Amino acid sequence: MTEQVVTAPAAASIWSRTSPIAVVFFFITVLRTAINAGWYRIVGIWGAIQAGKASFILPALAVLAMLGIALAILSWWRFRYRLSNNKILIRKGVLQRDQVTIEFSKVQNVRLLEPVYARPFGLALLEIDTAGSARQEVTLGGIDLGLARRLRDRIVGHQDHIDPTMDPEPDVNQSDQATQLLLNRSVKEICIYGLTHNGLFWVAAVIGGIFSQVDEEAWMGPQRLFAWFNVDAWPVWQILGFALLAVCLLPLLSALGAIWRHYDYRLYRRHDVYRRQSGLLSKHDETIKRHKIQAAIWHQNFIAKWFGRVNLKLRQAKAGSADADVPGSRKPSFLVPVLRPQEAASLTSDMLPGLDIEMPSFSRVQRVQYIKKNLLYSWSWVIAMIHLALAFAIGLWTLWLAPLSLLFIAGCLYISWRKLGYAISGDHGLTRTGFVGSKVTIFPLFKVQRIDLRQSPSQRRLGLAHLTFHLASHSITIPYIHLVDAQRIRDLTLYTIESSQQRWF
Amino acid sequence: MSFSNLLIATDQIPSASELEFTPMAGNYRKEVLTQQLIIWGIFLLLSVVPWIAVSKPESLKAWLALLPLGPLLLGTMATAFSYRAAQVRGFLLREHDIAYRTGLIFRKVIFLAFNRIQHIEISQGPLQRKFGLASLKCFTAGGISVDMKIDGLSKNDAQSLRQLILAKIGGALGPGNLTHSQIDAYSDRPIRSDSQSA
Repeated sequence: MTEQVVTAPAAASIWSRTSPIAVVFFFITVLRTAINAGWYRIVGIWGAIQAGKASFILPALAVLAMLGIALAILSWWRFRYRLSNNKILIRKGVLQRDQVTIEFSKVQNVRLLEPVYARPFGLALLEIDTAGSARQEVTLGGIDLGLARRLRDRIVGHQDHIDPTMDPEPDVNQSDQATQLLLNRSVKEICIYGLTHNGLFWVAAVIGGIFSQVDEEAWMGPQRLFAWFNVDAWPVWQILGFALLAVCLLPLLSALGAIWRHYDYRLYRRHDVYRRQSGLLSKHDETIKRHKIQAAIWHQNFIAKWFGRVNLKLRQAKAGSADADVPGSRKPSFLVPVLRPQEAASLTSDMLPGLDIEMPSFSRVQRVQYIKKNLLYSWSWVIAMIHLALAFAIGLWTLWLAPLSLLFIAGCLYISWRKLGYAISGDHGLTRTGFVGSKVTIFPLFKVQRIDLRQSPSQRRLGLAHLTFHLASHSITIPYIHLVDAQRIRDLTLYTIESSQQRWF
Repeated sequence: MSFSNLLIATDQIPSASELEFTPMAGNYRKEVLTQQLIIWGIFLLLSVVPWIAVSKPESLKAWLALLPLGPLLLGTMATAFSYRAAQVRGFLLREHDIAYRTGLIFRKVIFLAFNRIQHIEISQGPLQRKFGLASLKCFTAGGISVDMKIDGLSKNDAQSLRQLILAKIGGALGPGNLTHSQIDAYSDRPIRSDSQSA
């Protein structure tokens, strides 16, 4: 494709600034960075206020705020962009000045946001990022909504060129014939999503004790919270009251949060591009191209199971950096919330062409080894630690409870073994994990990037193996699978990859 | 076993399990040996230092004389282990993919299809240069980490392997498949400009 700077208006080929409203966006960015860097220091401030040393804190905060505003204004002033037909150039940076070039063909993700502060001015935020070994990410804060939409459409390939002079128009995708509305979610359903979402896990973390299926982030939450508020110093009734409040309040808060974020959720499809739109005051608008979907994951935790609903998440190629490991910078995956199982099935087979809607029956892994080895290598340490701690804290007699704990964990592992399963359906692979709820991952075999087979000495003896699929988005391991099956699946996967002519990235 | 959903008759799919892996270059074992000797030699030297530095009391000095036994023992074990592990390593080249086998105790076999390789690199450390060896690194999409790093190839093998893979990638770029520019789009080091006629 020849490079061609948009010709119509002279304005397009020169460097332009975003709207001054974008200062707000930059200020929020500064604030977020500051909070991410030093949020735990709030504890210190809290302590100082309680100790009556607040006199210097307010002026200090005021100075910091002024500095933040100054930095935001400078960032806005330095941020300039220039559009051409197939790429965007950006100059930015206050101290370190960067020039970034993003070619539209390399873009992985486009998100269009209309934050509450920008909507009265008809402005929007466009987040663009590219994947691959050269990773870049820019946010065009405070550009005209119409321009943002056209830019987005250009990037996802709906339009051949951008014409910045075009008048702001209603969103083309809504009036277009080719665009079809796949589904929308009612407020009630969004509330259910809120309940099935993280919020309640905090409560589970407080109540449920050690063996609940919560990830580390959710765990750290309440612990830090307690550390902040110095709970030890509180009377018992206050702690109980707080716990009760948390139990009642958190579901409400997570439902409200879900409404804020997902109100008026709509999912559109236009040719091979899916687009979701939602938001109460701030509008979010996200697109994903069908061939960029690496895997579809059905999340159904115990609450979702109770409601009989599934949350569908689509995974895209992971961007180059290790950002998936840093909780703060994790980008939400493309979400389709609270689906009925049939909806989830038909939507998934629409998104992953060639997938059979009928759920296959899952094969199980070797039970004894799965339970034994997990107990031995992962859980025995935990149990030993807990019981040693208990023996020190309460008394030696608690060691008699250790076999009971062992039995309990073995029981839990048995339940998780019953959930663990894999299947090959046509040219798609499926895996299922879970404890009370379940997580089903569906991926086209031809999108597998690399496939590993690992064997420990005992697995070699018993004819078992761990099989790992490395997708561009994440890796999936089937543990303690029979070697014969593992080899057959591997051979089939390699065959599918090598004989496939489809686009995978 | 229990899964039976295959659409294609299994005997038509080429099986990768009964194939012979090519062992690494003969010099690779020497390189591993030298590397281990250097590392443990340094530890050995360091472990003698306390014995030289301390002169009194005599009893302590006598104990310190035993200190080099640690690196000696550990070093012997580690060296023997690495040497055996180097013998186990091997690679396998097929028409459409490449495999690499590692691990003495925990065996691991990685398979990589040529039409998923984003770019490849050859690297050579000082010791490798000494022994005329090189490592071949293959990268796929979705990560900055190396997907397959084949150590212990002779320099010539590494280069011809690279040429071969580049040619295979080039061959995969037929109609209906990824174009050169699409592959370039995700790579710092575009494969196209990298490849020579093979």
